[in-house]
Amino acid sequence: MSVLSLNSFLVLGAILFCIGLYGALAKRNAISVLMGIEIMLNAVNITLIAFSFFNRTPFAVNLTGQIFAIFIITVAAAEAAVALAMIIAIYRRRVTVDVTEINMMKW
Amino acid sequence: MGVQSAWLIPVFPLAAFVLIVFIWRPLDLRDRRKAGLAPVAVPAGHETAGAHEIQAHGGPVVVVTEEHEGEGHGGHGAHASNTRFGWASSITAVVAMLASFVWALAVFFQFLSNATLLRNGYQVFTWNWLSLHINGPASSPGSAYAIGFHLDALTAVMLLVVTFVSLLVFFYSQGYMEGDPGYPRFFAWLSLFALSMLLLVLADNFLLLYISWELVGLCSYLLIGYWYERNDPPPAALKAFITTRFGDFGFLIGILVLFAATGTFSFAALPSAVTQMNQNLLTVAMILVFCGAVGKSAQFPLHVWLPDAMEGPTPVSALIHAATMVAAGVYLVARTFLLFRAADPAAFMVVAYIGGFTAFFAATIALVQNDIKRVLAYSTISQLGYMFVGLGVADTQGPGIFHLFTHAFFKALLFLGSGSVIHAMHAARNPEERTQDMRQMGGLASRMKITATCFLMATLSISGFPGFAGFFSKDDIIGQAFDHGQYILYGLTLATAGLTAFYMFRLWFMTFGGRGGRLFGFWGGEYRGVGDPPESSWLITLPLVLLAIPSVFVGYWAWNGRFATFLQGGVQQVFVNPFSIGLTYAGIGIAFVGIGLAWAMYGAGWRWDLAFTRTPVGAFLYRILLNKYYMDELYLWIVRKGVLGLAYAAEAFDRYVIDGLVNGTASAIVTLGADFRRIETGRLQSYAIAIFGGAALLSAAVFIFVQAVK
Amino acid sequence: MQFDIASLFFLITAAILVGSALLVVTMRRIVHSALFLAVVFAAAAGIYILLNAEFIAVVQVLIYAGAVSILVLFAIMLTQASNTPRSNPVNKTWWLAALICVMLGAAIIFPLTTSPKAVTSSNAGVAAVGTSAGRTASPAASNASSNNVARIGQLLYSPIEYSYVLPFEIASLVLLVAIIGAIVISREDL
Repeated sequence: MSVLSLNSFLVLGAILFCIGLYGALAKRNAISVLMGIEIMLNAVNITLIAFSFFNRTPFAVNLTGQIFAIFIITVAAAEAAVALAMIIAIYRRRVTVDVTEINMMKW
Repeated sequence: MGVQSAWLIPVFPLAAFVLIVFIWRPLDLRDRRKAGLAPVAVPAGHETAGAHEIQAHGGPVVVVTEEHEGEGHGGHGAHASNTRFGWASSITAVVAMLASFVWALAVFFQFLSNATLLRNGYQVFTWNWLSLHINGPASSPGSAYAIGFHLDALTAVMLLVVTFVSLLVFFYSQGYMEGDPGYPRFFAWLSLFALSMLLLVLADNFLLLYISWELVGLCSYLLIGYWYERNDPPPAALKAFITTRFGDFGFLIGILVLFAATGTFSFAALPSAVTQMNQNLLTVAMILVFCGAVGKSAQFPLHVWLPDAMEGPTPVSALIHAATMVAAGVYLVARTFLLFRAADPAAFMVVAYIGGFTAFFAATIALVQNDIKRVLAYSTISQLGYMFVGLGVADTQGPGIFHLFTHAFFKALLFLGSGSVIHAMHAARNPEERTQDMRQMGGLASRMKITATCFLMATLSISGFPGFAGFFSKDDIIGQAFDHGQYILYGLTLATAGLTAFYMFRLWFMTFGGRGGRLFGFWGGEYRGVGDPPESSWLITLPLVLLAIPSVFVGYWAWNGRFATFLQGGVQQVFVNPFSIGLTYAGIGIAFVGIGLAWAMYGAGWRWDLAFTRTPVGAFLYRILLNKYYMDELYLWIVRKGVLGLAYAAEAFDRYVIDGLVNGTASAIVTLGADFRRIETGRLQSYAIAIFGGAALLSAAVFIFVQAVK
Repeated sequence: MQFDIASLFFLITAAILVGSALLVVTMRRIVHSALFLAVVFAAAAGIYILLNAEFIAVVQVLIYAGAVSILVLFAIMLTQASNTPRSNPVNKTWWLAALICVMLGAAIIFPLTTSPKAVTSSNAGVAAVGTSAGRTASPAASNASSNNVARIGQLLYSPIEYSYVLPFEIASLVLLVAIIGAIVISREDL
């Protein structure tokens, strides 16, 4: 069994996803949370492109995964921009980027 | 006149009651208000509105003296005279009772003459109160709730006793209670009592019996508490009612058990119906029914109310607490005799032993009491015990009922005689001091000759002096106890007979005899009181004489077994001449010993007991007896600790457990809510953790448990 | 296992990738996290190259490693969450997050590798994947050149063949909205 099978890429994607999830859940700095989300999105990209690569015959390739990945990159960039804008706005107001202190919608 | 119209017998006192309550008394009250008299006797020393009114209106001033003389423990109403409606009330009551007596006599003679009637009894009427179909061995539609009057030999005897004694007491009360402000009220209650007692005796089923039983208790309450403006009578009345209520509770349960098992209340149907029920259940039910008798007839342990009931006027004591109401318990056991017979012999033994124990117990207490009415009260309790021994031990109701019969006469005589003495003492002295204490009396025989003679007849009778009525009935019971092998009861009754003779003659000597009297202090002697007690008027002494005659002679009805035969509906009973058995002489002997000892001590003055009560043992015994074995204190303690303790426990349970549960549930929910709302932290990461945590758990669960994925 | 150069490359790149990702999420100083994030992006680009997706690799480097990392650094600078020793702490329930991530990872990896129904298992086979690929592959793909960029261009822009031009246009709209939104949100006088 080759190392370069679909399995290895999927496992890689899964590991990366979980690491990104940990970053999103466990860090107190909002920017760190964003970084975790970016890692998660990258993991998804890897998975998609892996599917695209391994889903082919010798005569035809399927590039749907790659197109999907492009769009994900696009949207991720847009989302990062908006998220960082929000973080800056919140920072201006409350001088904190600690997500544990941004809890006004509580009981 | 005769058995067909026997239903009239209770109707006469009922009519008197209605007349007095609705006509004579309102008119009397109106008269009193107009004259400015108080409607009730007011305790002396208080300024009353009535007094103010008098001074304001300038009306007659009679009231002031009247109110002052209304005070005085154990004394009776003032020496003022009656109002006209007062006389109307008393005359109505007496006439009604006379009519009842005449009718009862007619019924009695009819029973005497007609053997068929005697054997079968006579149902005066039956009324189907409710027609329900009850399932039971003796049921038929409507039979369960039928009320009626039934006459048989036992009823005839009881009717005679009740009407005769009631008539004499009513008559006596006219003179005794004269001038009392509540005079019409007194006769109203007396008539009500007569009505209920007659209903009780005529009842042919448990329902009517129980209703009249309770009614009699009510009248007792009303009459004991007649002088309610004083301090002592109301609690005594309440005590009487509540104590008998304890007994009535057991009684009711017994009746209901019988009804549940047999489906009928009727005395005619029950004896055959109970043979089909479980005998142990029947025994329990009969013992419960006997509880009612224990309460009403003041047996141990429910005897505590009778001495306190002496707070009522003396005629009340004579009628209710000597001759009739307390005999209701004995009547009950006699009426249900066949049911007791069908039950386990233990039921009879319970009756007999409680009776025997009470007889002895009460006699010991009576030895040291100084209040004349208290001695008689304990004597009543003791004699009632005798009656229960008689019923429990013998084969028929004969001995017990005969003792009831004779006892009614001489006990009523004793009470009325003591009333005469009290009346005389009251007339002679300052009303502020106790007039019932025997230590203040003495030597009255030479001053109140008629009273003394009649009283002596009764005392000899109750002591079992040979030839008098009490001798025949008491000796019969003692003999029955021996014949049936109940040696403990025999010993108890024999000892009690001696004690009875002793304390009755102690009473006699302390009141009527004393040092310096004729015949070694038997008749007359030194008077330790104040003033000069006069003989009472003919209104008081006539009933005494009329009661003395049966007290002496009625015992001869038992000769040749005539009474016992009569009671059993003509079935000839065996009669043994008492004077032929050696056993009788033991009884006579012990009575003589008692009389002699009392004569020596209180007549001639050999007071060895004064030194004895100063020794430690003597003082201890004396104190126990004088305090009635501390039973009242025991009951008070039980109520305080037991009943109130239970109440407090229940209250604590209610407050802590039940309220705790309710309030606790509420506060638990509030706390839970407060804790739960902290889940909404407002922090996104917490929510995200929740989401992903749930997802992780779910996926793990799915992979582990769902086969399709594996 | 065949250990050719591609596998080695893969293993090294994957190691760098996973290592950098771990460092991103565990560093205590946020600037360090940001720098390691850039390394993550670069390593991901390396993976894409392995997967014959050169265009995506370049785009990844351009946009992610080039723009997004700088954006993040700018944000760090603007929020003065500077390089203090504790500028990137973990919160109180970090252990729970770690546990959840491990469980989730296991939930994905374990069935993936062991379940007979997983798409990569020998039963399902690449053959099925291959046949579906034959159907869903675009007609243009079958006769197009082997140039990745050209093929992607075709798929994105082609007006006559099957293409994703509509999603492309919408994506550009999304970008526009994002730009405007970012400007508006971060305005000073809001």
